[in-house]
Amino acid sequence: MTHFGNKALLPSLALWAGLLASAAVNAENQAKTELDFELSDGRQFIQLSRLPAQTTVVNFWRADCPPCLREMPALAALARSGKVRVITIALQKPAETLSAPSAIQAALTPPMHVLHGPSEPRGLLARFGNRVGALPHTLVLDKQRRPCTQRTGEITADWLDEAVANCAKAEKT
Amino acid sequence: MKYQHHLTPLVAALSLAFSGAAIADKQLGEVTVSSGRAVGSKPVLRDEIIATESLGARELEKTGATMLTEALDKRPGISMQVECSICNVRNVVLNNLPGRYTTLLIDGIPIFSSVSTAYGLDSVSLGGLERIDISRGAGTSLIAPEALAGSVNIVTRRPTKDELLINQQFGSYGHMNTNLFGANAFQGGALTANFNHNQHDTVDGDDNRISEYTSYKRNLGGIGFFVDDLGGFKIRGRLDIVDEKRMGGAMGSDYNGVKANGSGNPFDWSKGKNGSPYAGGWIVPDTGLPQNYTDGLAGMSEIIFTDRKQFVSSATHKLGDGTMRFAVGYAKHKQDSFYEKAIYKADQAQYYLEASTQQPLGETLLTTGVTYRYEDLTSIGTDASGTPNDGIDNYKYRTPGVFLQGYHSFLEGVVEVNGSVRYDKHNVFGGITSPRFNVLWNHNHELNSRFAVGRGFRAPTSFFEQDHGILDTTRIVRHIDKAEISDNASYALSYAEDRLAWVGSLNYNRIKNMALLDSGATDPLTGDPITLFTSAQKPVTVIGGDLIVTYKLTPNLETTIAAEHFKYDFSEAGTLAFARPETRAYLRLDYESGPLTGMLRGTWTGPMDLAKFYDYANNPRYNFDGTRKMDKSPDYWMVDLRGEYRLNKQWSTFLGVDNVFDFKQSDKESMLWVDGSGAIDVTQIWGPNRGRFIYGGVKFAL
Repeated sequence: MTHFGNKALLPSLALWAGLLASAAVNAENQAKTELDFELSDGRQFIQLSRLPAQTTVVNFWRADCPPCLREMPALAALARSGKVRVITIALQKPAETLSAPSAIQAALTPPMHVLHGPSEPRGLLARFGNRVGALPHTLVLDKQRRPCTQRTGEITADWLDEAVANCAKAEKT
Repeated sequence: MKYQHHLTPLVAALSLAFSGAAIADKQLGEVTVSSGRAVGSKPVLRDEIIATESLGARELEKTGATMLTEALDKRPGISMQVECSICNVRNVVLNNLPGRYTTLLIDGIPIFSSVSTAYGLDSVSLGGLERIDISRGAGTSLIAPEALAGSVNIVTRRPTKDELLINQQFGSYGHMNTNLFGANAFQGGALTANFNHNQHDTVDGDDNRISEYTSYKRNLGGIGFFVDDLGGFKIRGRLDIVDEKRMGGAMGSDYNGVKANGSGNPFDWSKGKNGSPYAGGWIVPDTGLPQNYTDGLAGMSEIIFTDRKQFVSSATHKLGDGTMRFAVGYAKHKQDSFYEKAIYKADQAQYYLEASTQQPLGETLLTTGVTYRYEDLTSIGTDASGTPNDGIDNYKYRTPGVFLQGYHSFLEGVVEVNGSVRYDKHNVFGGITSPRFNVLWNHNHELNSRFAVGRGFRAPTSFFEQDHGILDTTRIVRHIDKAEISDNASYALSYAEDRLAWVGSLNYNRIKNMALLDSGATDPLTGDPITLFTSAQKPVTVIGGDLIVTYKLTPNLETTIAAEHFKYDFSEAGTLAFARPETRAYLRLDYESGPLTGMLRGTWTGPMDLAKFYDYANNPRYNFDGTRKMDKSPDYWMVDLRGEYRLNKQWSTFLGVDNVFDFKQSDKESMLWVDGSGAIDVTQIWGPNRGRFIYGGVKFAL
């Protein structure tokens, strides 16, 4: 019978120690970061950085999240206004979002960009300022894809208008 | 640049602790959440149960599983193990530790025992679930210290709208599965009802007229309730009723006919791999002489009727800046069984009570509470000769406990630490302290590490710990005064970006005082067969590692490649009583495009050291022709596929094939075996007990 307990633990502990040491170095200041993603719209991968430079609202949602559904018409109206680009990212598979009401399905049409997040969305959410994964979560990005403002929780049309206006103002200054 | 509503881990913890789909309609400070558990944020160290894997309802559906054991099978670090070829006891095995070390919880409430998990895991409905959280390691569960390998927590979904879901499936071997789920959501709450009927015929892969896959007829019914605000309490609960009949050995489902057929030879022992030279019996290995079988259908059959009622409920209320929670669980489990002419009728009651509170203290989130667990078992029965052995395994356990957990995040959530300790006062095994400690380090947005150490304890019961040993002896002699103790350490490094995700983990488990049942002993005074109930003298160590890589190949196609490897260090027979592989590998493809979804998965199982696990050195095993059983099992692939097409918003149809290449153990080696004296048993198990299985059906959703 072999005895391997301590031997097997050592590599793990060594790896652990190394990662702890590197963590502080890897800590990012998200506020200065140009955000990007590469997500599927069901037909192709969409990379944010390859889209034309434009003020962009990014909204994370799920079909089983009532406030997510409630705010969707306001996002659709903003998209139709043409003032900014609106991207919704469902943290569910396409088939799962079909359980959303018909009015929401109607809202999820062009000019709204409708994308789906990865199966393991932790990294994507954290990158977009939502490490704990609460929904809905909305960001307004400037033309350089830097976040102007963000909100975890339900938004309103007024909040969207003000956030977009403030973002435009900040870019000019 | 302005940032609003930055969500600290502590704020999130408190909000999520008092959240749910319905409460999401309300603003909770600055935070609104989608469900009781934040998405994409695992592992969550603030929880009482720290999930290491989580399976959503959609994932369960994609595998075509109709019961819990099928849903959890064929995943890295998680498998389903059959431990009896004619009654098909199925255990959920975590980190390849014995299945009895996996604790099942319903909505966070532990209400299953070794009696109820023996056949009860198949009878857990998959209807109306939000997800299944799997926690590998003894350090993952604050409220289930007996989960030495880990826990499986079934989380009920709180509907937010009226629903009607119907799923009708038909399959090979007379399989039929009907699922009905209805929900009525109203202002401030919801009611649900679900019904499941599942049936399957016996399957005999080697034509000897003895099944390897049992028949079953199972009816499950339940209701659920959700009240968002009753005097400030958020309440949820469910009541489930289970009625199951299963039979294996003899083919069919004529239970009374089989029980009455107690003589002669209805089987063909010459069939199958290394079958006997003649149909009427087998070769006695020690003498080389034939031995006729004369015990009829009854002598090789096991018939188990299960009747179970369970209720769980919890109530949460705001208390100061935090919350308080009350939980209650009740289960009444009856098993009426016939084991190869022995009769065993068990009646079990279980209660669970919990009162706890979660409060912020500065930047630390404290959780503290008390629990009380009650579990008894009374049985009556006879051994195969008809001698009564009433109360052979009766027990009554009462375990009050107290727990304290502290959660703190450092560096604005970059590092999260969870430390906890609980103390339980067991009425038989005394006071036991079980600590655990978890650290989560978010190295950057994509990469994090989780390190966990913990201890668990389990009070062994003499029901079905390893074998049917207790059932065919006159009494149990107990030489056991120590609880089983598990020390566990694990490390996981996980990475998740938009198209690529991977997680690698190392797990170390050391279990002391493993309970052992030896049914081969003899009463020195009377000469009657007795069972010795003892503890292992040496610890058992299982060390494993696994790596799972998921990559989105195209916008519609995702692939998962995974492998696991385990080492087993044990020296006493009966500790790790069933064979398990050192290595498994997994390959899976998931496709979704418009109305079409598809899943293809292959699972490779490496060779198993049968000689070691089945203790050939002291108890060699033979085929019916007198030849030795295999020392090592062959490696094999299992390939499953399933496709689903959505006809419209309401209707879908699906078709699936499990075990596409029809690999089954009986083609290579019988699950039946005889010892040197010619005594027969049903536990030479290392491979699939059913070949290709084709199924299809329709779904309706309103």
